[in-house]
Amino acid sequence: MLEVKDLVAAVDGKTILNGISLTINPGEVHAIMGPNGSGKSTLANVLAGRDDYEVISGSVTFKGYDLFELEPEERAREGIFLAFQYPVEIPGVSNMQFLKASVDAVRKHRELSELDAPTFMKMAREKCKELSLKPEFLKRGVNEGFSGGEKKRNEILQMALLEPSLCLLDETDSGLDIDALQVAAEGVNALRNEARSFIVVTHYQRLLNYIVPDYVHVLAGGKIVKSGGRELALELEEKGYSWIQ
Amino acid sequence: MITPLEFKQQAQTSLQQIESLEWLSLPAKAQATFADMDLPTRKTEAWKYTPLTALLNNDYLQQTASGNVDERAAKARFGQLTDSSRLVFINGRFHQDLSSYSDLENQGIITLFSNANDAQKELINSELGTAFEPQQHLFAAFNYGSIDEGVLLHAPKNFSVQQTVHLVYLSTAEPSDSLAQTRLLICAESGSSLELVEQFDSLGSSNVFHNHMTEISLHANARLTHLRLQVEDEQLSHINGTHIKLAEGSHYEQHAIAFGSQLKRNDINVNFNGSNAYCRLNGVFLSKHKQHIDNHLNLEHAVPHCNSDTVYKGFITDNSRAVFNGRIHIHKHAQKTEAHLNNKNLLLSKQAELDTKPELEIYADDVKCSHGASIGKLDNKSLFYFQSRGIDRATAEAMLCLGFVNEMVEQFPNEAVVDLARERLSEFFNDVDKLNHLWTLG
Repeated sequence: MLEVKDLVAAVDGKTILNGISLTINPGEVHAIMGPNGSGKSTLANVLAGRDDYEVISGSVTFKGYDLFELEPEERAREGIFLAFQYPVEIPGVSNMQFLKASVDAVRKHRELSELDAPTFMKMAREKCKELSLKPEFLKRGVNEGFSGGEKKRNEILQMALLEPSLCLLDETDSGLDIDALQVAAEGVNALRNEARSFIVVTHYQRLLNYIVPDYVHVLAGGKIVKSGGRELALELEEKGYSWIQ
Repeated sequence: MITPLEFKQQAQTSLQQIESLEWLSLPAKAQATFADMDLPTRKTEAWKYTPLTALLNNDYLQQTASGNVDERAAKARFGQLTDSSRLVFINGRFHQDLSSYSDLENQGIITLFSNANDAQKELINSELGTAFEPQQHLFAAFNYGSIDEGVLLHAPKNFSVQQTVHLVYLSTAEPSDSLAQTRLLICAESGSSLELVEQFDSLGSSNVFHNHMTEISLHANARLTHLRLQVEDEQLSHINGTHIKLAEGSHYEQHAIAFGSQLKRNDINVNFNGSNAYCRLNGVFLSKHKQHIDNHLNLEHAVPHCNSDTVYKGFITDNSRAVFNGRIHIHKHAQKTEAHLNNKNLLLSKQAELDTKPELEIYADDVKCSHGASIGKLDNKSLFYFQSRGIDRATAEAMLCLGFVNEMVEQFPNEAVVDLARERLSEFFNDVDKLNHLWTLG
C-alpha cells in the first residue's frame, strides 16, 4: 500500500528526514519510535502533505500513485488519514458541519451517494458514544474547549467515519492518562482489518501494549536505525534509545 | 455634489420645517447646538477614516421619506421572533398596521412619543439627550433638532419584561433620495430586565439617509440584552448613536452584526455611573464591494469596580473599507476596573482596507486592562486540517470565513435572531467570491 524510498525532507531549511525507506502492506500496523527530534512527526506530516515540510529527494507511492503529485485533500480522499498530535481548534465551525463536509468529500470521491443529514447525524452520534464523547459536542466548534483527551478521541471519531486505508497516528498517546489511552486504543483497534494499515508514531512503549504492532521501527537522526517485531518496543522500554546508537 | 456648508444649511432648513411635538424641551436646544457645529472633516480625528462624501453626493435633505411600503414584502423581511412586541418604521415613519405591541403599550412599557401621557412626557423630557455630550455629536444634535416621533421603552421597577421588544426600521427604494430620522429612549428602572432587538433592514435598493439615536439608561441592578442587526442594502447611508448610562449593579449586553454600505457609522458610548456595573459589547461587521463601515466604541469607566468586555470581529473584502476605534477611558478614581477589548479581523483582498485603533487611557493605578487588534488572512493550520480531511482548499476557505463570522453570531442570545442573521449573511455572501452557494449552516 505504501512504499517510501530514500525520503529526504526538511522543515525551516533544516533536514530532518535523512533517507527513510519503508514498505507497508495492507492490514499491517507499524510503530515508529524514537527520541525527540528524530523525525517521527515529520514523516507523518510529510505523508499527509503539510506544506511547511519540503521534500528534498526520494519517492513515496501510495496505492500505486506518486504521493507527491497529490494535494493534501486528494491524499485524504484516496485514504490517508493523519490523526494530529495537536489538533487545531476552530470556533464557529461546528464539529457536525466539519465531519459532514469531510465525509461528503470522501464519499463523493469514492462515487458513493451523499448521506442525508439525519442519517449522518445518527451515525455520528453512535460513533460518539463508542468513543465516550458526549453527542452535544457535535454542536460545538471543532475541538473548541476540548481537553487533550477529547481532542484525540475526536481524531479517532473522524477516522472511524472516514474509513481510511492508511492511518497515521501522530503521538496519539501524548497527554493522555491510562483511561483515555484505553478508550483511544479501543477505537483504533476497532478499525483494524486486513485491508487497513496503520503507522503509529509514539515515543513511549505503553501505547503499544494496547495497539499491538506488527512491526516496530526506530528512528534516530532522521533514519530508521533498527526494525523488528513488537519485542523491539519492549527492549527499548527496558534499555532506552541510546542503546541503539 | 454640495459643499459641507450647503449640507448644513439644508439640514437647518429641514429642522425648521419639521414640527416637533410641542411638549418636548430638547429640540430647541438641539437646534441651537447644531447651529454652532460644523460638519466633521478628514481633520476631525473621530471622522478621519470616514468621509461624509455620501451625504454630499446624494440629495438626502430635500425630502423626508414617505412611509409607503408593500406590507406583504415588509412582513417577509421581519425576523420571526416568538413572544415579542413589534414596532415597525418604514423610512423612519411609524407604521401602525405592521406593528403589534398593544400588551406592552397597555402596561405603559412601550409608547410612541406622540401617544405619551403626562408622566411619560415628563420622563422623556428629563432623560432625552442626557446620556452623552451634545456638543460632541453633530448627528445627535441633528436628530434631536426636530422630533416628530420617537419610542419610549420604560421597564417598571423590579419588573422583568417577558416579551422581546422588536423594533424594525425598514428602508425602501424611494422615488428620490430622502431622509429618515428615528429615536429610541429606554429607561429601565431598578431591578428591571428586558430584551431588545433592533433590526435595521431594507426592501430593495435604498436611497435613504437614516439617522438614528438610541439612548439607554439602566438604573440600579437593571439588565438589558440588546441585539442589533444593521443588515440594510448597501446603497443606504446610516449614522447611528447608541448611548448608554449604567447605574450601580446594572448589566448591559449588546450583540451586533453590521454590513457595510455607502456610509455606515456607529457610535457606541457607555458611561459607568455606578459601581459593580457590567457591559459586554460583541460585534461582527462585514464589508465587500465598495462599502464602508465605521464602528467607534467608547467606554467611560468613571467609577470603581466595573467590568467591560468588548469583542469585535471584522470581515473585509473587495474594495471596501472598515474602521474600528475602541476606546477605554479609566478615570482616576475608577480603581478595580477590569476592561478588555479585542478586535480581530480577516482582510481578504489586496484592495480592502481596515483601520483599527484600540485606545487605552488609564488614570487609575489598580486596574486590569487589555486590548488587542489583529488583522490577518485565514490560518494555515486550520486550512490544512480541512484539507487533511478531504475538503478542498476553496471550500475550506469558505467554511473558515463563515466560521469566523459565525463565532460571534452563534453567541446571540435569541435563536430567532441567530436565524435571521444567518439568512442575511447568506444574502451577503451570495456574491462574495468563492463563498457563494456554500452557506449551509446546519
